[in-house]
Amino acid sequence: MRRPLQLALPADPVTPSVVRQRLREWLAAWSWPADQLDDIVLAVSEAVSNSVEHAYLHQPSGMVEVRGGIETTPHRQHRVMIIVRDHGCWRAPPSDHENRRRGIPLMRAYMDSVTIGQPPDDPIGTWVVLRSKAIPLSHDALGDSDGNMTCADD
Amino acid sequence: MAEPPSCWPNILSLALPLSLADMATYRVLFEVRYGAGVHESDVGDPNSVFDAQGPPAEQVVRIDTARVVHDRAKALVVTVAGEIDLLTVKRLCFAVSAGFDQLGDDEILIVDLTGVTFLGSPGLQALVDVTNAARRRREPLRIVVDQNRPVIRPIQITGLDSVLALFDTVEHAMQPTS
Repeated sequence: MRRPLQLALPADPVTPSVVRQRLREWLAAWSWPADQLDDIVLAVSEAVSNSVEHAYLHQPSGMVEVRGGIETTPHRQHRVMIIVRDHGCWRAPPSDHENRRRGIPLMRAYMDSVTIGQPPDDPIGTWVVLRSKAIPLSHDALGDSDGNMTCADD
Repeated sequence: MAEPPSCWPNILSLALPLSLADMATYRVLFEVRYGAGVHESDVGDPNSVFDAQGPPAEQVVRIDTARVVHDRAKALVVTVAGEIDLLTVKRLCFAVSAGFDQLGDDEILIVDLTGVTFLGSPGLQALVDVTNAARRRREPLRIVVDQNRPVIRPIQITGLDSVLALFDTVEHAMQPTS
């Protein structure tokens, strides 16, 4: 399980629950602390829900991709970096849509940083880059050094 | 990169490092995906491509409605267990709406969320909606949440603890308020 997380799922209402389950398994394999694990799962679920709800409203439905890796900070701590990406149209949050207004503040509250923008290689898609709070992971949790991956920054 | 007219180019970009045979596999998967349900592919390892049918909503959340009498107070309690998200939020709304319709003259409606393991923004919005609907009907709607972190934390972070009528147990929710 200690591989980078890579999922590609259709933008379907069931997808957030599938992502949550996969993400839980993936973080559990890293022995990620339970409270932080819940925070990451909620934040990523919000990002995936946004893509499912809004990305493909005006075009044929497409995919939502989730990729994750573990980053090592300069202080030898570790954080999870997750990219949630769709290939639909980015739209400004509609003023009458409360879900969206709550989803983004939730993501920001639960993560250390949340960047929402357009991927450099896709002029119309949207990605959300989420970085969790950095924590010390035990040597046991990290295991072999080659299990300690850095998420590709593309 | 040219603007993709559909999600086909996305599939292709995922499959770029793959052989033509792999791409044929993706094509089949693509068609299967849009035929029924949710299927998952591990894009990093084409050999591990497999179907992962998403769980039906009734497995993600369980909702039961029951009449409760406590100290001569009567309530209709909608008990929710599991995850409230995009998939299941409508079930919560339907259950609360049905609860209003079944409500006796001297009963109050209570939504018990102590068994909820996940509450995202669609669920938060539903709680606001049913609370507003209750106000319009002049019916009391009380929501039971304990210190269950996946429930109370998103409510507090979004400031909804000052909007929703929150109680820590069903018994407390049934006590008359001034």
